[in-house]
Amino acid sequence: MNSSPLLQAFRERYGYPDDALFIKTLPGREAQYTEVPDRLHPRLKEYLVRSGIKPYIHQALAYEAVAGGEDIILATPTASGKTLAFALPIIDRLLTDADARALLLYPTKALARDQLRAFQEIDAAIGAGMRPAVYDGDTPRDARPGIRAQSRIIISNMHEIHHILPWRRQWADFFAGLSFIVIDEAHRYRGVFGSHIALLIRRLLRVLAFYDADPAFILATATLGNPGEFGEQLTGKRCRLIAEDGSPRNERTIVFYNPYARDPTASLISETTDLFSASIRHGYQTICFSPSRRLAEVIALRAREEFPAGQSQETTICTYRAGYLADERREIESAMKDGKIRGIVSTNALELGVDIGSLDSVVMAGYPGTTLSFWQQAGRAGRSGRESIIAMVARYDPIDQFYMHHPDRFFETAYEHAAIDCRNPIALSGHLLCAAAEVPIRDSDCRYFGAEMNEYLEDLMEQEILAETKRGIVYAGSSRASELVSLSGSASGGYRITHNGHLIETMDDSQAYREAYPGAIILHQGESYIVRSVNREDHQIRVEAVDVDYHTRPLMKKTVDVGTIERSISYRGFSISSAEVTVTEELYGYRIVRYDRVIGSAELDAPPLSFPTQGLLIAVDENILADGGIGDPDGALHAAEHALIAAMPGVVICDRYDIGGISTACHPATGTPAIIIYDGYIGGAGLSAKAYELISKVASLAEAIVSECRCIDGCPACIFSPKCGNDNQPLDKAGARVLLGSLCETIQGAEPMAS
Amino acid sequence: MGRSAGAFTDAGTFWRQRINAAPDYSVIEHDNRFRAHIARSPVFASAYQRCMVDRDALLSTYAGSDLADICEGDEVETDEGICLRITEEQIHQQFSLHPAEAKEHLAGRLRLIPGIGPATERLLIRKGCRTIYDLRHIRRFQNSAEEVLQIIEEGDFGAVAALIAGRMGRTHPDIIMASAFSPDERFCFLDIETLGVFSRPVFLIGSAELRGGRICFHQFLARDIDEELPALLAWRDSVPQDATVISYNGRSFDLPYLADRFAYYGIDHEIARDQIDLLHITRRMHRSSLPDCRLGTVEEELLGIERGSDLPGALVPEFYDIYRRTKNPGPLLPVLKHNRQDVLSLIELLRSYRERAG
Repeated sequence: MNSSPLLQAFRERYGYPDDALFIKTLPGREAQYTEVPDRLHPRLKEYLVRSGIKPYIHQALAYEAVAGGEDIILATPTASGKTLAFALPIIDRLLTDADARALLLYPTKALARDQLRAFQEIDAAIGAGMRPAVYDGDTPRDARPGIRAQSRIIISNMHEIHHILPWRRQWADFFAGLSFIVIDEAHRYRGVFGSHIALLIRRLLRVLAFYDADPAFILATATLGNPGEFGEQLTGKRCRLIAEDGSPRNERTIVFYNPYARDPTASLISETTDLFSASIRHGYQTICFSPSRRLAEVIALRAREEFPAGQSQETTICTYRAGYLADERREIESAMKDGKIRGIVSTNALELGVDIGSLDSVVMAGYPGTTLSFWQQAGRAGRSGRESIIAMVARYDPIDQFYMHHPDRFFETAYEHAAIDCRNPIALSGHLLCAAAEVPIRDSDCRYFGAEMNEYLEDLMEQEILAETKRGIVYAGSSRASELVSLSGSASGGYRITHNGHLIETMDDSQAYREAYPGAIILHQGESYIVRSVNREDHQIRVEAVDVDYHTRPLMKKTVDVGTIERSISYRGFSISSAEVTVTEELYGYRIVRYDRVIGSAELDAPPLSFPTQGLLIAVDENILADGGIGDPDGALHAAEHALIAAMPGVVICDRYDIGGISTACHPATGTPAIIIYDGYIGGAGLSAKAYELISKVASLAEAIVSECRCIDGCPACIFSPKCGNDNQPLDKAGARVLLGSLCETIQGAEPMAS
Repeated sequence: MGRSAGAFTDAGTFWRQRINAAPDYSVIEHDNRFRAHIARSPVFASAYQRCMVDRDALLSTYAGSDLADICEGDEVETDEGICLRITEEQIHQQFSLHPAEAKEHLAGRLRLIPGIGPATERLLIRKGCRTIYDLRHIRRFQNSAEEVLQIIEEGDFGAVAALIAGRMGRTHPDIIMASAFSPDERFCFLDIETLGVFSRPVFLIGSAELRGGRICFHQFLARDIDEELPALLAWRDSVPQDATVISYNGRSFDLPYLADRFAYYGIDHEIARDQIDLLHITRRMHRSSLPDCRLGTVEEELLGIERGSDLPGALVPEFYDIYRRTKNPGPLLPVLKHNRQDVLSLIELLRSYRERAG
């Protein structure tokens, strides 16, 4: 199908120069079925036969593993029949054990409701009477006691569990019988948020242990580089990985298009609109994903101009954004299904929230940041029996351009690793407060919270927030613990960002300092807001919705003090460490930037902020910088720092805004030139610790980004950073290339010296 | 680092600052009543200011004092340690409303019969059926009338209260009639003080019983958090097994709260089966005539009790917290006083309702 008219059109239109367009067809695949497992309960067997369902291999494997008492993590794509993979082992057990119960946790209310329907159907079909029910913030108060008492399958979300745990008395019967915990879309629980969720799961397990329950975990995740490790970090239990996907797949054609190969001043909006319109014109029902709402709206507007009203009666293009009411959503969904809407534009933020079934084609305005997101968005295309096309328009930044130069590597590349850090001091101490309000804490609880637990308990008792009793350590604070600790957004949720009095987001102090100063433009779910006021006393930031085409970039001085070195490895010329660091940032102004051009600046007077976090420290021997190829050592270090930061999201799942860095000709901690990359959150999020483990991959990606970029002395696709606090000065691209080349060669070639 | 703001030094300081910055109550500027309706645990600015002045005065008056200097109590021993019990006795004047009067009144409630709603009741009365006794002559109601009369005749509080609740709702003022069937000795008037509205320790349980014509009022005080469980156990052991618990909002607050705290420590504790929640009854009877149904308002309007400078309930956790952390007993004084008045008012409120019913 590689010669379809649309691909032909793409080739004609974008095929020059040669490397501007890359097309690859991924073959389809037949379903791999297997026999209905022998030991499955007869009523379930009968149900499968009656409904003509043959299990896929992964569904049968999941059943066998869970029935055999294992915890599992299922890494198969969306729409691979995960519901049945959960349902088989759960319903099987619930049919044989009248006390058994299951808790299913989904990241969104919409997903929870979809699953409810699926479970209700199975329940009704086999007449099991398990009364599946959703229990979340929308569940009416008077329906709650009945659900707790009678439903044996409860579908909920993490936030609800956070608030339910202190009410455990009401849940005693359900908890005592709990045999399964399902966590779907587990990959979402990564970074700072993931660290909170991992600790929340420890709390849940501890409360369950109080009722002598020890459920099995069934996790499902999109494909990650480290699913087994990730599952274990999230749940504290070793999870068997099941990745043999038996679901059928359509043939899909992937198109990468790099407008910047021809014209470095190309516009992402025009190019994306062009592709989007072409796809619609050729009769493909198309969804376009964009990085922001503003961009989404402009693309939709321009695409509508391509199809003037009346010309073709039913060419409707609409945008899909957060905050639609259920009715509006259903209207759009049914118009999509009827084919009334031919094109839809959404922001990346909604890649999962859109429930519109499958379309013919997907267009991405820029690489969505991770291979994981790429494949989730790509998963929207794929209607059975039809050709599906996934087209990405590359942006002018390092990862996009790298994959344009090496599209093959995109398909070969190992997936990024997801990081979780259960030792973040704010998250850990906060969840200890919550735990103490649920069941008194005893020494043995360090099996949930680690050896650091006691030190935090001491601190918290010192402040009399916790109190020691004969029965264990008890919460004695005068505010509700589960309200003090916020799961979302940041470790501490220190600053509340409000719009017209409504909370839209929380940020920790360090994040707020960098991103939400007065005058800053911040993005939330694709909407842009300008910061009107920052109150450092009561931690309130007020914002106003604005429609602007510029963004802001802070100007700051940074210093990093290195504390305890946790891990370290030395090579000839380089020494690489993972360390506790204290970052001090001093904001003195910001730039106003439109399309990468500075159009103005402003001064700010903010007191410096320092916070502890985790850092990756690369100490460089002076001899290396003395190499003839390095003209400006400071510029080379600085450019190498930017390239490493740009490369990190290609290896560890994070956004480049989640990390920060400094480079210096002589760092006091090492006495040598050094580059330090740190997590931009108080206490860290495990990102730079993960990068330490994967340093060889990060360094070689950084090296490739710099050496393969065709610019002369730096551009946004290699060493320019959109968030540099020093205005991208000084930078020495050639020097960085020598430095990173030497770093890669050293790490990959040489045996490390004893450290 | 000069004037740099440290975002995090240690976990204790960090959460202490967060807790101090986020009190459970909100102070309503300019005593604006309209804003008070939307705030949670509102405290008017004037009352707040006065309490802060009182707090400081108490702290300086009682600096260096001991708890024993402000209240007399004895230590109670339990399996889980000790707590302090403060005891006070008063003369109790018999409640009016005898079981016989209550029976007579209830026999006139035709609605207690299944199938009779307010409209049918009016109709039957117009036709001359004034009591359930009369209904025995109507075939349709014969059987149920016999059953209901038997329940009323037997005069068991729990059974009669369940009958009233089932036919007319738990908040129906006839529950007061049913209270006549509960011997005074079985009543437990209860009010607790806690560190917050939920999932935090309870530190004071005020509980009064009526014995031999006297009011025996006890306060079980946890002088620190480790005395919470002893206070719970000491209270539990002081109350008769089959007590009828009388409270103000206790059905939704005090009793489940105590059950939660017992469960927190892993101790099974059944919530009292027999309860009278005077808040519900007050709401039903006086919602339109009172500005609000807070106990303080009810005392003033219905009982003529003037509290003087009372500590608003929302500030109770903070005052206890100061006492606990400084060991200065001053701030505990208004808390003990507030709790005592709450419990004694329950007795007076029941007395007043019984008088009206009689």
